[in-house]
Amino acid sequence: MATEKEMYELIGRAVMDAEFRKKLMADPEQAAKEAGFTLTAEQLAALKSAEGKGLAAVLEERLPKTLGVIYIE
Amino acid sequence: MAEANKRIALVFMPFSSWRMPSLGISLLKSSVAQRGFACDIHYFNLSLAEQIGFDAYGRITEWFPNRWLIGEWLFAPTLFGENREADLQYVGQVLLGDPIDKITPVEVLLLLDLRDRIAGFVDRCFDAVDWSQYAMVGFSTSFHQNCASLALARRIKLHYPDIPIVLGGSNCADGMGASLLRLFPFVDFVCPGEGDLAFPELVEAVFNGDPTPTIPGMLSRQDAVDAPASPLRPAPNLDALPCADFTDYFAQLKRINPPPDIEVLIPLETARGCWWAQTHQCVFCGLNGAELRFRSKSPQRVLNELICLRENYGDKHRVHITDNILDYRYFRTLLPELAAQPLGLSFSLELKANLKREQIALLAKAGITSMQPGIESLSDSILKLMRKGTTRLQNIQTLKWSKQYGISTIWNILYGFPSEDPAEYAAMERLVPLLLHLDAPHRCGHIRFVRFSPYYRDPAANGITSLAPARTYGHIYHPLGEDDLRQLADIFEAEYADDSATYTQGLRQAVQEWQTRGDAVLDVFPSPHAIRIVDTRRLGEKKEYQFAGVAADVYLLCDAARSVRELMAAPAIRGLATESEVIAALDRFVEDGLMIRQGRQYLSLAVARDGQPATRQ
Repeated sequence: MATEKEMYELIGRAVMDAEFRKKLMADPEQAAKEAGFTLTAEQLAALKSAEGKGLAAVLEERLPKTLGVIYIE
Repeated sequence: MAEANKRIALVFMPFSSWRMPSLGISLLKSSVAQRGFACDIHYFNLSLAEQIGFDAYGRITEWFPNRWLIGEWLFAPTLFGENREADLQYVGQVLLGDPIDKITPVEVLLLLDLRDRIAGFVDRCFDAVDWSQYAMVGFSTSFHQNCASLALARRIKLHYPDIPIVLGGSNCADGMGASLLRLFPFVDFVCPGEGDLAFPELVEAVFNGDPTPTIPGMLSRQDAVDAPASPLRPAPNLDALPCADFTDYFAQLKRINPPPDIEVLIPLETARGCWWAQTHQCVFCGLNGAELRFRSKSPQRVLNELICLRENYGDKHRVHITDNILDYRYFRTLLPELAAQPLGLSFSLELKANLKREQIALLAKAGITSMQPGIESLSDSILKLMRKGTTRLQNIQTLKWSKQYGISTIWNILYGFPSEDPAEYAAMERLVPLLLHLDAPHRCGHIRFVRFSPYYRDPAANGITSLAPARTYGHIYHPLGEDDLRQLADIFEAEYADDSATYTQGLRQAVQEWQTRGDAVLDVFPSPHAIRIVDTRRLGEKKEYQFAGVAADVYLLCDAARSVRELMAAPAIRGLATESEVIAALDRFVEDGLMIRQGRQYLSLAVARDGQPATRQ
């Protein structure tokens, strides 16, 4: 079962290895298994939730909507 | 000499919002047109928004904290090549390691995937245009536009070495511009300040056959060697500037077919500089670079420009007034004109928060639908620390009256000021449940230490022991050394005793909940002899209060903050109630959470819903 630390290691591997990154995006379960990470059902669900959605949809689910203006921080 | 039939290209790269044309280069297009030179603006930010999706692009530009420089990181490999170690540090220390705003591993993966997908974007920008038709190519770079701009500039220079490359925009301000020239040899000129006067002169010189002219207000490659003090050349008279030409933006916007429900903003500049900062610059603010001097357009010029904008681009877009602060003389001149003769346009703007109710009513009547009052805190001691020149009650009044007159407000709570009192954040957290009926802060975030701010200019005087470029720069501009980063950086990390991530936790949580409570109301309905107050601030509860006589009058009088002494002098109270009756009424309102007290001042919190000012005199 992957701990949070292992999950971060998995992301680290994705940063360093473009091929692994592609595999992870396409088939998270298989890619993680091949790389020796055993993900929890929750972690796997989180990874799968990104499939076909893209960044905007994933962020939309957890962040407050922008307020519809150009905002200068 | 540049061939007479050649044109000028101005380029706007990602990541800058796709929902608004660039004011700077649109003004320059008009300026060079006045001298007879044709100019095309290429909005490649629109192309990228179309490629990756308008929502995803919008998230990149509007949500991620500025200090992450996410737009720069996405294009860093295009400019500098792959560096996996630097990427690993960026992901670990910034995206996953930020003490406050870190994102999830899945979101990191999606960002990595996005970066893979835009790897060839700059090549496509290069291929999309016949650059040989241009005598000069200029780039506007502000915030997160350096990497993409520099990558395309280098590509153009490689293929067309005779075309001068010019950079301008806020990323070039003062010393940052000189360092861009020094570090990137394919850049020929940099405009370190306002380009209204210098850029057209540069264009004219190049067309007249001088490839290396010396133009006041413009840095050339020679300056990269000699490293002179940057010559700034601000426009002395804004009325003398032409109207910006946004035709390229709207033509390109039409081609990419954006979602129909998205509002496009048209930028309008009525002033430059900051009149407040000329005497009391807010400690964290670095806006306006080294040129703070306030200059504004005449009301008639602004009116003419608005009419021109409406004629050219229609009235369905919101006009975004780009000034950092409104010229308060407009309350006597421009705004009454706009209110009396509505142009059918809506506006957004930024201004100082110490507004009177009548001023907010006038803003609404003039067409302002959204504003960013510089609120920044709901604590008097922290407002004082940041030299904001406003008080907690003024800020709350402004939020309340904006609600009353239908103006949405964009505002922040900032924290992390050196020597601030942590207890103030606990006090703000206790205040939040009373304010749920008002617009929530857009963000509750740590202050940034930025170039040109008082914190940057004199850190020691402000309790900061050292300032270094934000480590993000090192992960993105990985080939550069510490000294180069210091000259290039706009955002810095300060060393001082800072435990704000801990002591603001409760407030940040409360603000997050506030952001979900758009349904909460606290309304007061005045009638001739009484008031009725409806309160739904507590989730799932609806309370109603009725007050008559002195209590009703006291509540309405405190629509603007008042002391007991001021209340006793008011015609509605004088001779009709004793001081102890007034104090008893005030205490009851405070106890019920319908009013707040700050020192001797009391402020009613309910929003008047009769369409008229709540106060009966």
